[in-house]
Amino acid sequence: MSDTLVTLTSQEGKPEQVPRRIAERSTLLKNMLEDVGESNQPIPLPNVSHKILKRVLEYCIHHKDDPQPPSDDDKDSFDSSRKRSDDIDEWDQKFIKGKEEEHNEELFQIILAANYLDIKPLLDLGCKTVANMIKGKSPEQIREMFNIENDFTPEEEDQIRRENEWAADA
Amino acid sequence: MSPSPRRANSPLASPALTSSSSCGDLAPLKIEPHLPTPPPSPPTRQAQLQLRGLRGTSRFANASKVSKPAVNKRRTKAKRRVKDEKALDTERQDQTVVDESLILPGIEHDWLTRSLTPELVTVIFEYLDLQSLTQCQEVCRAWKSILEAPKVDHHLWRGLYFREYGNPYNANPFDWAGEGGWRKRCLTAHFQIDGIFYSSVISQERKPHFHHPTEEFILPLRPSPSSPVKTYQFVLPSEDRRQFASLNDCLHARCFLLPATVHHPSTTRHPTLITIFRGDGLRGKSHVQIVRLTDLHATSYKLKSHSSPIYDATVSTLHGMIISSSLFPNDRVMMNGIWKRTHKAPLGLCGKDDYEISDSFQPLTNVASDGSLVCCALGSVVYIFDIAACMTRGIVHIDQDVEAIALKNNLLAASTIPHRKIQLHTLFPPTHIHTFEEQSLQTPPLSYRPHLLLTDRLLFASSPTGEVYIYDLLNLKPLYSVRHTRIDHQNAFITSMTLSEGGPPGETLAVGLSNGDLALFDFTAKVVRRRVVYLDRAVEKDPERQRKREKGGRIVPAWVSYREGDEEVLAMI
Repeated sequence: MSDTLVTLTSQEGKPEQVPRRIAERSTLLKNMLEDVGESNQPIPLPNVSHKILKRVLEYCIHHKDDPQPPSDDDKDSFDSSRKRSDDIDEWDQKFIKGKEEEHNEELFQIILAANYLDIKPLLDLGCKTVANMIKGKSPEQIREMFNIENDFTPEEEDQIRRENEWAADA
Repeated sequence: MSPSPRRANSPLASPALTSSSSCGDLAPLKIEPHLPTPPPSPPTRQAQLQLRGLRGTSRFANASKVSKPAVNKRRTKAKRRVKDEKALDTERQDQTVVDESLILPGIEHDWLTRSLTPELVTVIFEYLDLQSLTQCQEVCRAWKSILEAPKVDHHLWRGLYFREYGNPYNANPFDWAGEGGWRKRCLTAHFQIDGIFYSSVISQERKPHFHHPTEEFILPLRPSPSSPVKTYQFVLPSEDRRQFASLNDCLHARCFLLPATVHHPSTTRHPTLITIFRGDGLRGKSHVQIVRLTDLHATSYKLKSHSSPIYDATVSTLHGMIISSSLFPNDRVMMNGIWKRTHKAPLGLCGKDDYEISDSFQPLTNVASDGSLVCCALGSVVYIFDIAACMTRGIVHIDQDVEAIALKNNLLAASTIPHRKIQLHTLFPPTHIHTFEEQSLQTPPLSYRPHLLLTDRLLFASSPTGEVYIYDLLNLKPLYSVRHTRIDHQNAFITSMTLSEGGPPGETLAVGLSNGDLALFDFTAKVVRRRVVYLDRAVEKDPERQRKREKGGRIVPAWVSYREGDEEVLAMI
């Protein structure tokens, strides 16, 4: 059963065939397939470009044997366990790095796709990677890195800086 | 009109403490009826901002319509321009030079905030530590507003707080962040350990070296970490002198410093000092005096609904109430509205009878409050009331008679009479955690009563000799003591203490003295310069270890030495 092929259509209309088991890494697709039942109808994914879809599927294929992540329902319960960003395994690290020259555009697209397709481990991986990029940077460095315009007035900036003075790192 | 207040050097605290303040002077802000306007920023900064703005538009306008190679060409040009700017701009010494390799290729707009939803940005923020998050607040308005959103406060900052500081005292089920939320608690929890930068004294009497506020004088609001230790002394407005004439020798003044953010038209953004004077003898009524510290505007009124002078009082800033216990037995614990004086309601002992108090002739003596919880001590028993739900939450048994109590979150500190010890208990469940020995060895005068104050991480305890001893609650050991020069004779011992809930980076400890004066100690965190040393990088210099690393073996530090002062991190592997 799990070997049946599912056809996914990307933004450009290009079909991509994957085993159902792989597609089910995405909670969105899993729920959809359960609702629809046996069907050969292609599933349109208008929010995901073909290139990104290929990348996402690459991730899903590598992680096809991972246990399903726990559901999000107990998120609100008291949780003081550390959210780590330094536990990315080697394959994931290589995967998310992708091709050097288009790394960041792609990273951002992957985060959006993972969020849309509801693939929690991939979303976590993307967010961890961005978090690692932010860590240890000054506000100025962060702005330059993400091309964010500083829209604070100098007075406001001064005020915030004074509030955060103790935390300023060198 | 004297241009500036007379300053006396304050030989307070230990030299080690004061030495942390480096040279450089902060011009104290002038007192005006309104909030002082911030000094205009240097034009160079503005110019830089404009430059940055221009650069942003020139580089990225219509970028999406341009084909990739063209964009790349433009980018390299832009980069070159950036470099030129940097070469020209020699004044940008304080700004971190941005590594060119950090500028991400392939991003044509601020995607982090414009394309990712606030929810997704929040998920990213969840992986950051406190220090990175404070940096993120400075990036742009969008990020700042995400980090300040009430929803994020509970979700992100609360988790961070417990991650950073742990939960050694079991946050109670009625846990709340207090005013300002968890974000503020995260940001302020660091302040207190590092230093005291200036102290000041407020008096009701005109004395030598004291300035009257009708003369021109300068009140330092927030000192910068670089400002040296200074002492300021000034006199409260005289309009209340008459009213308080009979209370000048009043021995039990309790004072409270209200946060600057209390929602009241006349107090918005003004640090306000509320002083509750205990009435003298049996007939005297207790008074409340409210002083706005920015312009020393003072009002005072009698505490109503009390048939006798108060014994002890506390202020619940959350509810805008003064909670006071009576000098007489079987009287009630009263609540008086601070701002609306008509609003008063007796606490009604909140079901105190449920606990079958055998000795009902004792008054409920000391009161302490935090948020909605109020604790009252009676003998060796401390009752916990919830004034929001109007019910008793529980009792804590201390094995000795309690002389003073302090409350913060789930933590209760109690000073006991015969053994001169300070006990720490949790409220829920009532458990004894630790006992501090009081540091002062001197026998207190008869009329002396100790005072305690708790914060998230520190315990302040007064001593008969005028020092305030500060204990570290996380490591359960004494830290240091502070003392003001005016607290130097037998008659001026500490009668009360309070800590402002002002914003970061500093806070103010207000100490009420038995001669009616108030001493203010300002704490400002020194800038802690920590550099992250990546062990990996250091390790790679060693070829043998590099080989080990390549084999996939993990190298962990086996011994680490860290000294804050010298900014030195040693790691032996």
